[in-house]
Order: sequence, then structure tokens, then C-alpha cells
Amino acid sequence: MTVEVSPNAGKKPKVATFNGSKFSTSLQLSQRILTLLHGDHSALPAHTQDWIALQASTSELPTAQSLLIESFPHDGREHICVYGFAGRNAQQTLGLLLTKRMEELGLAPLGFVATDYATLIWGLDPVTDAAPLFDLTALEEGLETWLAGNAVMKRSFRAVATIAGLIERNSPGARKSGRQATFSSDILYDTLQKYEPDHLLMEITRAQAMTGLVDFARIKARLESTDGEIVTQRLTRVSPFAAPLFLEVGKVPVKGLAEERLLAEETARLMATAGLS
Amino acid sequence: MDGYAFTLAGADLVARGSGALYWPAQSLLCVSDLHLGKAERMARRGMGQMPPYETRDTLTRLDDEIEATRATTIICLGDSFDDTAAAEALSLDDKLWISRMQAGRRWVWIEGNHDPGPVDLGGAHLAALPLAPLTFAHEAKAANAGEVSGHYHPKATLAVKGRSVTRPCFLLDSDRLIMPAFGTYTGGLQSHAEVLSTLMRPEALAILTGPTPSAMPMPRT
Repeated sequence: MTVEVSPNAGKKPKVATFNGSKFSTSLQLSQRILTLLHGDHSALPAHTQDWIALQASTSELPTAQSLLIESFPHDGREHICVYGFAGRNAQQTLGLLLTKRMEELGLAPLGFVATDYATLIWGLDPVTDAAPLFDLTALEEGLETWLAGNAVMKRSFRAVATIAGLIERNSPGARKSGRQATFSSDILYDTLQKYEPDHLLMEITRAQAMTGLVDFARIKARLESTDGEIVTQRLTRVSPFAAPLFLEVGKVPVKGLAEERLLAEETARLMATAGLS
Repeated sequence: MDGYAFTLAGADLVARGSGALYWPAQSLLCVSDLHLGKAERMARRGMGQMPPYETRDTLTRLDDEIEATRATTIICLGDSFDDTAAAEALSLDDKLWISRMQAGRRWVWIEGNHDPGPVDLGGAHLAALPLAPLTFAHEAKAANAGEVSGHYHPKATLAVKGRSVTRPCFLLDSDRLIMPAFGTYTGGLQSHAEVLSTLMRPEALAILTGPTPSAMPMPRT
């Protein structure tokens, strides 16, 4: 097939965007998926059978009775993948909670992304035993402050502030009006958070961020049902089940000590390369 | 002392993570481009309404720096106010706060393009301040040496391991230091902008601000 394109000066280009949201898979569906994984695969397409078989041979298949966590290096960073099968919202919340715990334990998390079945977290240091991360009380503690400073809230704020007309949406090719200064929404967020945390925009931001974050009860139930059986698989490379998470949209960066360490290492390397240190 | 220590024209200086410059031998603290009253000026000119807390936030951070360094001379390196009317429109509390910080210290306002005239606040008002071996001025001049200036609000971006980090930065070479903006609402100009690449020597450094300031070769065009 040949597709020929030519620029049309008479029309304004449009950028397609998706503003919808994703629904979490239900508890029942998650259970069925887990049962299917350990049952008969012959009805599945061949590539899916291969994919599951490869996961079973290189790592292991997640079960409903325990919580599987894979830990592996990839692309110069360390990763853990938590197969909670708790639905997207709960896995997203788990990402926030775990990165907070990892930051406290000095494991330098850099970011995370969640799907319906797993949360992938990347950082600077390897996690060889993930069990200590899952202390429920420690996970929940200080969540408010951690949440307030992090990217989930800042992203929600950007959308809210754009609708309110506080900042302009940056779209490629759009003409700058010149009158409106471009403002970093992060700075505005930090300022309001500090001096007027109960501002209407902030209330809407919190409500908005929370819709994608709830379902903590599902995590709790999941952790309690495993009875503390947390399996950490330390692998040498990314596993078949973890691979799709690298393509997932909605990556949440985590601001913390890791960023400072990265900066220190990289600037030192650049100075040495330039012969200036 | 936290910060990145370096020498300019023989003077030992410290670039602090906050974006302030400290000169221990003179007990001198220099900050640039405070742009106090920026939200007020923007609202007045119909440029949008921003949360009006930046003056308070900027003064809080300046107060912290003075406290931390115990400096006895303070230089505000121009564009301290977003315009002359913004200086006049500062609240009484903010004016008293500035007077309190000025008490018992030598305080110099250097003129900037946003605030060319004198303001009715204490302190000396100068176009530039020579303090051998350095000169403090708002805008860098290519011919000068040992010059500390502001005006451009330089910032630099470093991409590493899939993370891109942008920080306000100091630009340093053997002739001059260009300071980052200290104001809360002051944006930045990427160091690879042509004007900065022309001003700075090829071996210039960018000192990134933040919890641990660190130097790298200045990103340039």
C-alpha cells in the first residue's frame, strides 16, 4: 500500500488527544485471569501461550495466594514489578505508597506506572527483598504529605489551572499571544499549596487526583489475603509479564533524593569528559 | 558552607543552592532579579491573575539566606521590583519586613531595567557597585572582567536516565558570573540561548541550583 501526503496550508492541523479515563478491572475478572493463568492454555492464541510459558520458565506465574514481585535491572535503572491484580486505581495508589516507602528506606525511586494487573517502579538501587516494603501501617503513614508534593497532584493541577484560565495550554505550533506570560504550573501549585492550600483550585485538584487513586481497601484486602507471603524474584533482565508495562502511558515521576543523586553523578561525569574536573 | 565554591578574579565565592551568591571574605550576600510584586503588576496590566504570594515567598527565602550566612552586606542585583509601581504597591508588612532585614546591614539596590528609579525603601541605590576585584551590575557587558550580573535568569537542562531536570543556574567563566533569578515567579532563559553563548567563554560552567549545587560544562548552541 502507498500513502501519499501533502501539506494543506488552508487547514489548521489538529492534534488528537484522549481525555477519557480507564476503568479498573473488577475483582472477579482479576480472579478469573489468575485462574486462567494456572489452568488450560490450549484455547489461547499461540503467541499468548508462548508468552505465558516464557514467563513461567524465566520467572514464575502470579497466584492469588501470594504476591509476586520481580526485581530486575533494565536500561541502566533498577525496576520492581508488583503483580497485585488489584485494578488500575489500586495499583496506581500502590505505586505512590511504595515509592514513598522506598524513598524513606533510601532506595531512590524515580517513577512508576500502573496497569490493571501490576505496578512497575524504577529507581537507582536494586530491591532484593521486597517484603519489608509492604508494612501496611508504614505504607499509609504520611501519605497526605507525600501525595501533596508529587506528580499525580501536579498533573491534575495543570489540567484544573488550564480550565480556570490561570495558565495556557501549550500546544505545538500554537501562536504565543505575547501578553500572557508562560508560567510553570508546578510553581503555582507549590505556591498555593504553601500559602492557600484550601483555595478552590486546590480542592478541585485533590478531588480530581483522588478519583484515580482510591481503592486502598482493595490493596489492603489483597495484602491480607496473601498472609504476608510475598515472593521476590530477582531476575537478570525484564520478564515477559513486565515488558508491556514499559509501553504503558501515564508514567508518574517521583521527585526525591534520586534526582539529586542522578544530577551529582551526571554533572561529575560531564566535567570529567570535558577535562574540567 | 553548603554550596559550590569557586574563584572569580581572585575572589573566593560560594554559589548557594538557593541561587544566592555568598562572598565570605566580605560577609556579602548577593541575590538577583527578585521581581517583587510580579503578580500585582501582571494583574494591573491585564496579563492574568496569579496567586499573590510570590513577594512573601521571595522575602522568606531571602530572610533564610541572610540568617544562614549572617551576611552584613546585601546586594540586590537589579530587577528587585517588577516595576516602580509594584515597589510602591508593596504592602506595609512587606516594606517593614524589608526594613527589618536592612537593620544593621549595608544594603545596596542595583538598578535594573524593571526598576530604573530609586524606591522609597532604605538602602543605597546604585547603577553598579565596584568592590575590587569584582563589579556588581545588573546586565553583563562583554568588555568587563570580574563582573557579577543577573538579568538573564539562566537555567539549564540535564537529561539523564530518562529523566530531564531543569534548574536555574549560575553561569561562570574566567571573566564573569551570571546569576540565576531569586524571585519565586521568575522564569528562566536556557543557557544555550544565543545571547548567553555569545557572552560566555567556551569553557564556561553552569552551576545548577538545588539541594546540592553542582557544576557542569555550560550547555550552549
